[in-house]
Amino acid sequence: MKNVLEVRDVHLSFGGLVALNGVNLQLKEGEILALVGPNGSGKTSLLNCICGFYKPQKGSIIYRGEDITRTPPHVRAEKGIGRVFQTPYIFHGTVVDNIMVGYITQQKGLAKLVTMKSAIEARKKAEELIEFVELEIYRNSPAHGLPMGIRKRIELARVLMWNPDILLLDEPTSGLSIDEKRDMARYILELNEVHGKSILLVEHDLSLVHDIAHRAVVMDAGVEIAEGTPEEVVNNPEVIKAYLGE
Amino acid sequence: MATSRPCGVVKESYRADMSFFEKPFHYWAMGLFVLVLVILPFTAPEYYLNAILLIVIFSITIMGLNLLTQAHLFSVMHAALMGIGAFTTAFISHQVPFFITMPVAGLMAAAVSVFFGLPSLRIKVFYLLFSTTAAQFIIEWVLNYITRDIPGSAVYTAPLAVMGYQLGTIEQYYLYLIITAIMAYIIAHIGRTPLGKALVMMGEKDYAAQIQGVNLLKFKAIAFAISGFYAGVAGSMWSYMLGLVTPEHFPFLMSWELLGVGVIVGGLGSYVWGSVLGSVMIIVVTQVTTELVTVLTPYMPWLGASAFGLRAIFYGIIIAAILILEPEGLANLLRKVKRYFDLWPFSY
Amino acid sequence: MVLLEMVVMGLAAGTIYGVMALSFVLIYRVGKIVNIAVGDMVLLGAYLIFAFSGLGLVQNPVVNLILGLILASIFGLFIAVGTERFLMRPLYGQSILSLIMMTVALGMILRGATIVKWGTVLRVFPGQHEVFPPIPLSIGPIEIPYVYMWSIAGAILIFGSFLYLFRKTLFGFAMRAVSLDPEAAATHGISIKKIYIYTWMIAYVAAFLAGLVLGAINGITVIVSYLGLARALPAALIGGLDSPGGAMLGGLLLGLIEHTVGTILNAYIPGIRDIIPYIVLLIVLLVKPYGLFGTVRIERV
Repeated sequence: MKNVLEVRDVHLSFGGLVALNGVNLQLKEGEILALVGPNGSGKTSLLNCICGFYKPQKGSIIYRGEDITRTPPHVRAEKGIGRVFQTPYIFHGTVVDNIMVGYITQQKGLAKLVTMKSAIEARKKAEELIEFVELEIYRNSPAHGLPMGIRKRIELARVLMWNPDILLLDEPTSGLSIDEKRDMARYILELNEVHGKSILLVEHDLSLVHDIAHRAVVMDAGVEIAEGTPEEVVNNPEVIKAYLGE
Repeated sequence: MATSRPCGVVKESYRADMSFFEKPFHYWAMGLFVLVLVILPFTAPEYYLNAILLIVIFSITIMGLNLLTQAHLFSVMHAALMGIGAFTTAFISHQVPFFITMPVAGLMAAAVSVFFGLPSLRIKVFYLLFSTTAAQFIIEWVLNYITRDIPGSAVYTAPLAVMGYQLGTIEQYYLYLIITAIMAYIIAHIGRTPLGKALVMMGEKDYAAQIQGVNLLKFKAIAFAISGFYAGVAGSMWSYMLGLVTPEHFPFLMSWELLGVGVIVGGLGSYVWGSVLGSVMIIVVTQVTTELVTVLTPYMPWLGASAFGLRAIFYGIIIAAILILEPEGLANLLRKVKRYFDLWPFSY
Repeated sequence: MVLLEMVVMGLAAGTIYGVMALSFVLIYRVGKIVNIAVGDMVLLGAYLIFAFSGLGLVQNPVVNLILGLILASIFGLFIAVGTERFLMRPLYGQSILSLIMMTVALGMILRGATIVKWGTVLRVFPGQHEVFPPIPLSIGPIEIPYVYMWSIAGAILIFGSFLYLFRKTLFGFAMRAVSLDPEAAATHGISIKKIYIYTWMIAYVAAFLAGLVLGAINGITVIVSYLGLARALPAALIGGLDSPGGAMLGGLLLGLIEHTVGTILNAYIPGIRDIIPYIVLLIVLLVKPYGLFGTVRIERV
């Protein structure tokens, strides 16, 4: 299978603090790759490098054969890299408002953003995604005070609004109840299997990783220490050491 | 902002769903409001008509400022931007008619607004207040510098005329109402399109917006341009209304009044009605203070010279009260009234 | 020699900008409030000193003025309590814009109150000519107006005592704790409300001292409030918004730039000196938004 996204020897440090120390990673077309590791191991930093908030000091990020290490975040979004944050960023407005924002990504030119036609089209598309993430009853309620599970779905729908090629999901199930986790896993699987998205998943819940991921990479202290199928990874002595200590 | 609506309201198309008027009742209310505005000049004295013209002018500026503030781009240079619009108009009004000067004034102010807004890429939140404070004083100084050779720094504007026919106060009133209606429609429309929603999102979390493909440079420039354009047009209208402009008309304090009373008291995020209410508040307080001082001066002679101070106190108290009691502004009160009438006469 | 005089004048004027910036920075550091009312606090101080020294409690004009400052400061403590209790406290935890607008409201109320009480006529301190003689003081070849001596002495006094308070005492420690994390400080037994009130008190006293000097230089009118704001913001920003030491340095730098670059440019473009602080402010914002000593805010994504 072809590599959609490739991270080559990425180094990132803040002052003296080394966050990433030569990370290599390949995301293949149409797979779910889980990225696991203890807190502070650099998972989120890596995602931030991939979507462009941090510029790595060394190394490169290749997206479909194109070096995007220096491209600004919004251009990467246009190219098709979607990111869901760990804590969803929901602004003041209704659920529909929040999802409609995603419409602007694909639209070239300002005129397309302000016509009534585009607003209606955005609305229509938002409605489809509301259906996908099963938020029909919340459609017109203010999004800001809704519970975590709902907000995570809103954010997922917002990213899906512009049909990204690959999805970077940063702990999509943290802070969710068992039922909500199951729902989220269902969406992820549907996105992967029906819509053919390649997904990079950062996750702490190893049983979830075990259930849905095709491959897993374990990171610790800014380097990747193991790679393989979820079963192999979980039983790797290095991984057990990193999680449980000596 | 369409919030949850009562049952029995069914929309059959997305266009209907996004309409500004949710129920037939809202059409009726709007129609009544327009009717009152139309017959007003025949009943009210000219003195009040001037106050309404001022309300109209300020509400246009505040509409733009409201949008900008909603994108968390705090600006206190809007009085100066109005000044730019007003001076541009005053300088070119003798050659060209108003339907050219107004857009030109708007574009001029938009350009200046974008120029002084560009630091917003590097600096955020209240730092922007500082840079726009600087912008306000620099623009004010430049206006003073340009007009330094003119006695009193006063530049005269040609009277408002269409094809050589000079408009009277009442015609001017109708013209201004039409312009305001158009401007209000545009800003409300921007609010419901993806662009408007992206601006709100950019304001609250700019990096999260970036990942949705928001080009911060472009969108911040757009916000400043729209807002500057509105201020410029309002300045132009101001210029025609007074017939002359001086830099003293657009002081730093006015910028704060526009932001504090106009946007915050009016209602942040309510582009049309919040702005109109904020503007009404600014003018009403000014008028009430003036009349209060006129009435009270015979009894309290020391009050005579301090209408200015009394007004500042009132503004301060109103802002403080709104912030504590109704942080979403007067527009929220309006919304409550609307909600009440939604289910009228069987509201609970 | 002219240049040397400009430098000395600039540094002397800078001390008072530093005091205003200190007032501003303190509120920002401890309460995370951007205090737009700082100019109006300065204005109020000038008028209160005018009023209290106008009572003429002491014959000696110098002592009279100092007594006026002290009485005004005591009065200021009560205003500080009122400010914190009735305006700021209801808003803690709200958005930054609300807090800023509340200080704007405070500024409007203070400014309006001074105008209603004292009108818009230019006033001077009682005994102004005895205390601040119009003939400048000559130190060697340099001439500086007397008022700057007051400014320097006052700045050293207030800044020294503040630094002692902030760095060496338990109270300063509590202040720093609250500035870092109010909730955590509260759980460790520090009364946040008290700290906020004391902070406002110090800010008011610093602003009142600045009011004395600015009022003596420019005469007491509303203009003092704009001058105050115009100098306090850039000075605080140069030093970095949350560093008291930086505030003083920023004030000195701003005074220096204003009196050298400003005076020189003024010969070519008349009147440009008035907007020099704003140009400095814009440049600082663009080049070094967090100032020389400010904490750089790292946003976690």
